[in-house]
Amino acid sequence: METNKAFFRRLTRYYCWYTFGFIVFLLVLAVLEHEGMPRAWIGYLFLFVTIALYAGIGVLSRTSDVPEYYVAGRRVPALFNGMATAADWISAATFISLAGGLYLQGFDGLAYIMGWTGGYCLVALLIAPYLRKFGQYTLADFLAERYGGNFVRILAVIATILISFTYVVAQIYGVGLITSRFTGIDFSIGIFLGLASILVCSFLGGMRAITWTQVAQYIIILFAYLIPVLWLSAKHTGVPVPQVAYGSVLPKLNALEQRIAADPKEQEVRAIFQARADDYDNKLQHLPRSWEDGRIDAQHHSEEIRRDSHASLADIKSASRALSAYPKSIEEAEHKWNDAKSYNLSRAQPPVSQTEPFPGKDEEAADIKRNNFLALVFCLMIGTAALPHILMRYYTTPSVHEARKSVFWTLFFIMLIYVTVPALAILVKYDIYTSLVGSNYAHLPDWVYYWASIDKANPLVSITDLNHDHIVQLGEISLDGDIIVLATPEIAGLPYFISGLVAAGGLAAALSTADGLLLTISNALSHDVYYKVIDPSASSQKRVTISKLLLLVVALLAAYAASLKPGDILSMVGAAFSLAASTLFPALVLGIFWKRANQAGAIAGIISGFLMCVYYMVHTHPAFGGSAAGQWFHIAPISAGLFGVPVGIGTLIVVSLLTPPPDERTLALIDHIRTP
Amino acid sequence: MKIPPAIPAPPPMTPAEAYWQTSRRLTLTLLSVWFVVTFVAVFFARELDRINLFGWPLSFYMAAQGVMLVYLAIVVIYTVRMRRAEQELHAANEQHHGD
Repeated sequence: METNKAFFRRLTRYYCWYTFGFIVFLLVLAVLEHEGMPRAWIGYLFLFVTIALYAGIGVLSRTSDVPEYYVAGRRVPALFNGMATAADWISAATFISLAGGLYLQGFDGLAYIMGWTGGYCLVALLIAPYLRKFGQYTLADFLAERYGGNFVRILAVIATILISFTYVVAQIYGVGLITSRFTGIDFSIGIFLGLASILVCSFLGGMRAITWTQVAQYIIILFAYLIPVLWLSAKHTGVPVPQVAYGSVLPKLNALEQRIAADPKEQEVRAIFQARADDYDNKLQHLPRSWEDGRIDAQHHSEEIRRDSHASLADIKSASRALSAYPKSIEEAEHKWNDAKSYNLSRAQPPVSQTEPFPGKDEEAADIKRNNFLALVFCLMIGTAALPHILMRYYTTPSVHEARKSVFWTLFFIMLIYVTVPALAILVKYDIYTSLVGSNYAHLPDWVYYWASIDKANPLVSITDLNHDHIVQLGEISLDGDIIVLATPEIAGLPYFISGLVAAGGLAAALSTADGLLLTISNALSHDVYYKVIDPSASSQKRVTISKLLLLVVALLAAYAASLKPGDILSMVGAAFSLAASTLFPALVLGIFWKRANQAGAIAGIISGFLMCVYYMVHTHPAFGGSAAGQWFHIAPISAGLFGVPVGIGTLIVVSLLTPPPDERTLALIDHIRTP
Repeated sequence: MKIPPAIPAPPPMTPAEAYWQTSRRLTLTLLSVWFVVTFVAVFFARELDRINLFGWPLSFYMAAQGVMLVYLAIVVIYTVRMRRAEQELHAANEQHHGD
């Protein structure tokens, strides 16, 4: 007990010094920027210093001992495990996209805030303490021991890998985006730089190194997320506590929204988009004739311009570009024009109210929105309580009580960020509505030019004077959600080193999550498949070595998958939650709370939950060839778990009752995990 | 006059059983709180929206902050109460072995 306390004090001392050092580093950069250090150098410094730091912690905590490698020696104090789990949890999507989602979707975006915090109630009440008491290494360990047999173990491993791999690809993709946007280095080089730091860390020290790195990363994430919002809050409300102060901005924002919805100039811009959408609609209705006419028109236009001796080079270029971009076939035309129509239609809508729940044109549309909100919250919560890389962390605490306490700390540290997310979205929105909307095109702020030039193909921000009145209307601004966090420092008028800090924070969020996920995958393969199934007599040295090798292979595979830039990566991450909820949650929770659950039931439950979830996604998601017409109760494919979870639970119960009850040994195990 | 047969008293619970009962009841209570603040509150979000709380529309405040604070409270209550139950169990077990 005394050594635990001494260990805790030592850790606290280390991390206090670390935080102090980090603040000094920020101050030094502030001075350097003041002295005229170029922007690019500040970006490089942040990138390399933080990556070197994570690698350094990895080197310091290198280990080949099995309990140290898999569960950090089971002596991580609750507070630090909570911090590490929070960093594990806060992914690139949370850090970069969550506030943007709130900005664009208004109330609907709050489903993520609720779902991703409420899930921890389930973790605390239903899973973490029991898993800690069980005290092995992986999630599959528990399911295999509880239900008996290697088949359950293999199913659990497959589910773990499917869930974690999609998730890790998204993280590495995020690493590539952040490094390439902030330092200008190539996307794939960014990926491999990030990968190097992940590898040094988890390769050398497994769970132990990852835990201590994640604590360090959490501190950076916290600084990076809070500083710009504090600043914005002080600027607009005079109170530097954004979580409380943004309430006073809300009524002003509502008034602005109403004014913009009624403004004639705004309506003019929206009418332009409506006209464009109608034009595409008209073309779509007259396929295939409209396609042929359009092609001939484009050819004529191009030839005419080339013959015209007064035409400028730019005109000729744009005409020939229009010709070459013209759809090659009727199918392509239908696809492209449909996209263009829905894009223009979406921009023809008045701005979404930030605070009104479920706005809809009638009662039915609003009900559909509400049901989807609830379904998404349900899937995110249940999914959270079944994510292998999060649950694995609760094996690392010294006792059951510490495991419970550590869920509290996890939720606390996650909340520190999540409570700030809506504040950030609303303050940025207020800033844009007041200072950008209504300003003159001659005086656009610098950040607009900077962020518009980053990614030419899919610009993060674009502003075009559609009605030629030289005044910016809200309808003329098109923002990518990701920019909300990344550009906050510049929108708030902060110096550039704060932008670098935000990038470092995003990088820390992506790397910390990727670390945990890669370790989960390689542990599932090395511990569950190799050691438990293929070669149970393997020495501990050999097990750790195999795990390290697999880590390398999985990391390279994930990096390769990310470098292909899969377009639908974000919806795949959403799908991972539904998948985790439908496959693992029923078997986990019923395994603890229902003694009658048996092997046949678990196998049937896992498989049926999985099939149900995948069937619904394939049936309704356009990326898999499905369509919205196949939806049940208008539930979006991301919430497939709404159907998967009940099917999984129901099948598990029915099949268990139809087959013989579990044996004495299993009942003894359940009693064992139920007592602390 | 017939005396109705006495209902046989249930066998006294062992400390471990008592602990599990406490734990199950607590879990169920807290889960229902969790359910109400999450699903029932959101279901009626449009009705709650008319209420203002220090200038915040109530349903927005709940979804953006209030619900999270309730979640945190749920986890705190669980941790504290289970800690107490755990200590009682250890005390009872020691007494049991002392006899």
